[in-house]
Amino acid sequence: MELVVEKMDDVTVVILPGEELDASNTKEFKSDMAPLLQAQAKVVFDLSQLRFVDSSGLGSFLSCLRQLNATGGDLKLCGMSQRVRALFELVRMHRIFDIYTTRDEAVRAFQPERGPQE
Amino acid sequence: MASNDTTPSMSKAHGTPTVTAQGEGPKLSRPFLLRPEDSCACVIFGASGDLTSRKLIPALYNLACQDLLPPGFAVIGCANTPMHDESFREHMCQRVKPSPEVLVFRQRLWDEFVPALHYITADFEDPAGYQQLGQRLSEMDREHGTNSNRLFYLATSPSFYATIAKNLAQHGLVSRRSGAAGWTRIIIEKPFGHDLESARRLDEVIHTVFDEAQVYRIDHYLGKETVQNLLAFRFANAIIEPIWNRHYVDHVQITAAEMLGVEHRGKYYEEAGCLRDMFQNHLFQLMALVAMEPPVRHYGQSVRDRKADVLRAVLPISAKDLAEVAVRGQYGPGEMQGKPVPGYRQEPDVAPNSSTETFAVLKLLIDNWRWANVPFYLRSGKRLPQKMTLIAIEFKRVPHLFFSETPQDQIEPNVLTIRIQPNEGISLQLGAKMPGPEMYLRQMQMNFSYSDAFGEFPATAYETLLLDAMQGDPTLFNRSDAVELSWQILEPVLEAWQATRAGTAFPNYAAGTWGPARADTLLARDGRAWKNATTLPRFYVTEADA
Repeated sequence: MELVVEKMDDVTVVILPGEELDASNTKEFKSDMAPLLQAQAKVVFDLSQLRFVDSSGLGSFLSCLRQLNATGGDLKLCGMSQRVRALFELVRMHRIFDIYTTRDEAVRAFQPERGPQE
Repeated sequence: MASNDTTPSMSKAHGTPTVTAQGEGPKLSRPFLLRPEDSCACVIFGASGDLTSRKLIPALYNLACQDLLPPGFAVIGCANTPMHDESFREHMCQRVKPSPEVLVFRQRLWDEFVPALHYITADFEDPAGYQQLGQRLSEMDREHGTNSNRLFYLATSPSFYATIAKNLAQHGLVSRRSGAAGWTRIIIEKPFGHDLESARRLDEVIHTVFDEAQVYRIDHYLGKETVQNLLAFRFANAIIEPIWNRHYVDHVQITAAEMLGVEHRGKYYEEAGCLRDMFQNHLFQLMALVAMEPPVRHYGQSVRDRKADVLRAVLPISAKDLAEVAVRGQYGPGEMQGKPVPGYRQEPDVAPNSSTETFAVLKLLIDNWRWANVPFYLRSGKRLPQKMTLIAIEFKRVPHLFFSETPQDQIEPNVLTIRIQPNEGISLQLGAKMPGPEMYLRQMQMNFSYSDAFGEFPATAYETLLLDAMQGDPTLFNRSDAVELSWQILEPVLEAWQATRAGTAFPNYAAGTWGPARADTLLARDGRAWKNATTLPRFYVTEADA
């Protein structure tokens, strides 16, 4: 999986390249993310290209969030299509993640005074 | 905020979604949960104890994260340790933050959840505590809208169960009717009784206060996804049922192995032992789920009826057969992962000449049409080389050795292994031809892994069970008759082992080994062998389980 990684100030933005994140590529995604999660504390996943994520994909997001959380870091999500958002809501994960409409909003939210949008 | 537009209407708390967002694309396979409609106050007796901070509050926090607690939900912790609301909240925060049980600790979600936590300092035997509890419950009704819906959770030492139940009744805190005036339910932790007689006595007291329908005897094993999946595996797959009987199954093994020793639970364990701690509840429930007839519905009494039928059909163990069908053991000093560990008799709060078993095996026969003469071998122990709970169903060998003219002179049987924990999943062992000019067969595994298929959702069993109790669904809880039947099965073994102290026969296995040699002999006599690390190396890695 060719993850596109960009740096915005001290925030690492990961753009998920494929349209689907499911049992077929979740393992690869997690192994690609592993070194990045060890090195970075502030991470944004840009999901604007993603059209479908299944429970294993959602589980991998949760796993990334748990890893970052354990070391004092954080993960924020942005660019979610309505459909992907609905999948998050179906399994009630939408409250656990900080979800933003745009990448800029997600990056800015790492500044202490900004919280997640409602 | 959660939107309801993608959530199909369901009449039951759990269901498998049949639609996906926008009604297209692959289906999500994770069952979803619905929030209980009735607000309620959950009173946890023993709130300063380990279970509350390690399991119950993390589970409730996880439910809150997923917006699955009813509106106005409140917890009243109740224990002897002096605390007030604020110090209780702070104590819980310190324990929940690093807990591996929580989905993820988010300060904003904790801040939303924590106002639900309350605490009263009370002695369980002092009427003043129950008066105070009554006042706090009335406050909850007024301020949280809990509408006299009360879920009592007994997370105390079992010696307080009867006292608490009686006091609740005496102080008018129990309603036996559910309706506009609210409902009352009680969750009771294991062990439920110490033997058949004490279980009956406790039931008598409980039933003077609560109807059986209000009593939720919790066994957290039953809330595990993999245990619930046993029902799905058996009854949602048409190819399974025709071979699930004495015609095809040679025998069944159920193992619950722990690497840990008795740790700080010496006092409890000295009184309990392996049979009471593991067999009476966890192992018998797993056996019942494997062996039961198809229930009519997957909720309510139907599953419980069928499970009770299995326990009722277990052939009683007679004292004269005991040596043939039961093995007990106790670990001595040994090595775990290269480090020396003490024996059971050297553990804190354990008698130096203790006869308490830390390992047991039972061979049981289920005397019914489906399982006649199919042995069920149950095994559990502490300080074994691997942490694993598994069910292995070994099928009969092929009737004709088709490969007799080839170098292959034996064909191994198919084995279906259901891994309850860890590395949750199911695998089927099949024989396959090895590539090459000769007909050599090798055993290979068809494997289903939960984490590969569904990702890593660290949902705890307690979430499921607490939610079920709030919804009034008793399916995954133990019913009175099943508890009694379990004690009845164990009674002759408990009595015999009590009567004949092990003395110098214990310890009879070294920590870090698979129990006493007699455990292997018991199966070897029947021409069988335990499924251990040697047969399942890919799925059980000791380092990961320490």
